[in-house]
This record gives sequence, C-alpha cells and structure tokens, in this order.
Amino acid sequence: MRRAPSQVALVLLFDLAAGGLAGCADDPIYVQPSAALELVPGEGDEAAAVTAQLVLPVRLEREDEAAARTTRSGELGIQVPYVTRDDLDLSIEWTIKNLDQEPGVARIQVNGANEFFTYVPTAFVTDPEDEEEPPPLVGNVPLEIPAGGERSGVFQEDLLAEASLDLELITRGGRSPFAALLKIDEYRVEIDASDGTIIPGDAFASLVRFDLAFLADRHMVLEYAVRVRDHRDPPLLHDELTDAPPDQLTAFAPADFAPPPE
Amino acid sequence: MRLRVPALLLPVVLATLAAARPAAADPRAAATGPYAEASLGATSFIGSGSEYSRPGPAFAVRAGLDVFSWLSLGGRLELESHQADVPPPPEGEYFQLYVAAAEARLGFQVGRFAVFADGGLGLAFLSTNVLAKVDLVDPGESWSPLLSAGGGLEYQLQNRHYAFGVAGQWMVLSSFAAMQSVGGRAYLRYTY
Repeated sequence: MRRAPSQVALVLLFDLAAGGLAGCADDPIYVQPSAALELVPGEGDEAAAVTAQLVLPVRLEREDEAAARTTRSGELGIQVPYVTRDDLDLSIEWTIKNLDQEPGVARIQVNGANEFFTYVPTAFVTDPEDEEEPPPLVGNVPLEIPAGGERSGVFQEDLLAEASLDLELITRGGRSPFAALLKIDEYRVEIDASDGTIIPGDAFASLVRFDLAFLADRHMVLEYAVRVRDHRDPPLLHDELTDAPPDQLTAFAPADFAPPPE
Repeated sequence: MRLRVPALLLPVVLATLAAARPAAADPRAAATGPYAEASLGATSFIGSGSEYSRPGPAFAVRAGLDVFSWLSLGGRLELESHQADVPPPPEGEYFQLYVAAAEARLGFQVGRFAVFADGGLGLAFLSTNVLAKVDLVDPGESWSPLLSAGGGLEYQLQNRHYAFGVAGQWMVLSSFAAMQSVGGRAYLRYTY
C-alpha cells in the first residue's frame, strides 16, 4: 500500500504521454504552392498584378461518408458539402520581399471557392463606370515594404472561417457581397437561404480553393503557404498533399457565382 | 602556472571530497526489478537539421525490467518540442517529435553512483510537415525509424527504490534525411 502513490504517478505519466500522442491529430499541415508570385511592374504601372490558384489536396470521399451526406441532404432538403467549415481551420501565412531599390506598396487579395461556388467580385459589376467592385473575401490592405526589405503576416483562422461563411452568405444565402463582407458573422448558426430553406451551421461549406491576386508597384515576390488544421477522422487532406496522384484527389468543380438579375 | 581555487569555493570542495571518500566504501543497496523513470531535459538537432530547428524541451517516461543488476530492458515514450526555423512562410511555427522506442541499458554501480550506457530502436512521429519546405521530410512522410545511444550517471538514494541522475543521448532519424539530435536530461527513477 505504501507504494500506491508512486504507481499512481506512473499511470499519470503514461496518460500524459499517451495524451500527447493523441493530441497530434489536429496538428497543422502546410500546403505549399508550386511557385512564389513574382511581380515586375512595367514603367508607369501604378499597381500591376499577378494571380495564382491553390486547390486544397482533399482525398476522395469514402462510400460511408457519401452515404451519410446523402442522408443528411435528404433530411435538410439542401446540398450538404463534403468539406464543411467545421472540418478545417485554415490560415494563410505570407512573406513579401521587395527586390527593388525603392520602397513600395503591395496588396494581397484572397478570393476563392467552396465546392459549390467561386466568388468572382467582377461578376457583381454590371456597369464598370458607375459601380464599384465589391471587396475580396480577405485582404486588400496596403502594405508598405521597405527597399530591399521583407514583411511577413498571417490571414488568421478566424478571418478565413469568416470568409467561408461570407461565401455561403453571398451564394446560397443570396446576400449582397458588400453586406456579407463588411459584417462579422462569426456567431451565426444558420443561413436563411434565398430559396427558403435553412442551412444549419454544420452544413456550411469550407473554402477549398484560394484565388490569390498580388498587386505591387515595385519588383516584389510573394511567398505563401496555407496552414490547415484538419479535424476530420480520417483526415480530409491527402497524405502526400499536392504530390498526390490526381486520381486520388477530389476534383472540385465550383461554378462561378453569378448574382441573380435585379 | 598554479591552479587557483577561489577562497569561497574551498570549503565546498573540501566538504565534497570528504563526503565522497566514505561513499566509495559504502555501496548503497539498489532495488532490482520493474522500474519506471521520468525525465526532463533539452534536445538540439545537429547536422542537417540544426539549421532549420531550434533546441527545445524534451519530456520522457521509461519503464521496463532490470533483468540483472547490470542489464535492463524496457521502453520509452518521449515528447520533444522545437521551433522551426525554415525560410518564411511559415514563421515562428513549432513542431513536436513523438518517440516510442525499445531500450537496453548496461551499467554498474560504484558506491552511491552508477554509470550506464544505453541504446534504443524505435519509431518517431513528426507532428507537422513544416520541415518539408527544406526537404528534410518527404511529402506525406511523418514516421521515421530511429536509433539512439547514450549514457549517464545515476545517484542512488538511501531509499533503495529511488535514484536520480543525469544522462545524455544521441539519436538519428533515418527517414527524415538522417537528421541527428543530441540531448541531455535529468531524471528520477523508481525501481519496484
């Protein structure tokens, strides 16, 4: 009996160790693009732009997952996404290097798509002379970069969770992009869809594709990586990420969202 | 050139020498049997890994059986945490290394002290792919076989069940570009 405290301590130690091993399930994974974005503005260009697209390497849906999703879609009367907003915590880490001899200003605009729709801000502009283009889902903040210097930052998880929700509000929810993007809806638990159905929070789709635009007035390079914390069991991201064989990855085919005519 | 001992340290040195003399002639009884050990220390990658990760804390638990007074067989579970130092992005990210290994330990006791050498074989799991950016880890790779070797010095307490000590360890992770690490730890060992 005198040894009991030591034995209890041992059990606690092994529990701690086992907990550590179990805790690794949601560790972040970094999805790297194939190349950095380099921009060399021409003479007189105030802000040139380059674009890139990064699709999350999501594995194929299993039969039991597809069956459960079909059942849930039938119950709710809506399309339930394969990749939901609750499945993934996403953030984008970036570094901008100014390769010029003069200080400059850069902007990063992040748009993208869930598995149903792509957000294209220009699609909301019918008269370019009279109408302003709605803002991107994330970013577009002017960033001053010193000559020969660099600057790093993160579009954090809460921003991208909000971006996923905003895309749902704009597309299936039928909201104006200005209203959706300028209001923070982090506590929203459902969306009243434009067709009268209700989309519950656990059926909000996640962003699965990022469309980045990099604007700068000097010779600059943007490097970025998407950080993913995958909560699905088994994980949604393919083990080999972007190196996975294409036939083992989900080929998302979102439609460019076109707002209904007024 | 004469070796000079600061005056303040002289009593400490004399007391240590005086205490050490009877120790050699007074071997302490040490229990032999099932054991468990908990340690806290620090590890640092050397070679290819040192450029891209910083030293970090390490916590381990060990358990096993003293087959003889000079041979123990057991296993260890270890957790290390390091800050990645890859070219940004990402910047300031941490990764963890989880280790499970089988170990053998050879040693002998001299008075209150025991010296030992140990070696282990096992598996290591890397918590993120942050080191893939610098090609230390291949795409989709998170497990690696490991080989470790080390040694240490142990002090047997008056209670024959308890000892504490300090030890060092070298480890190589063959699948992670043969990254190597060295570490030190302080530990408390309980033998049933």
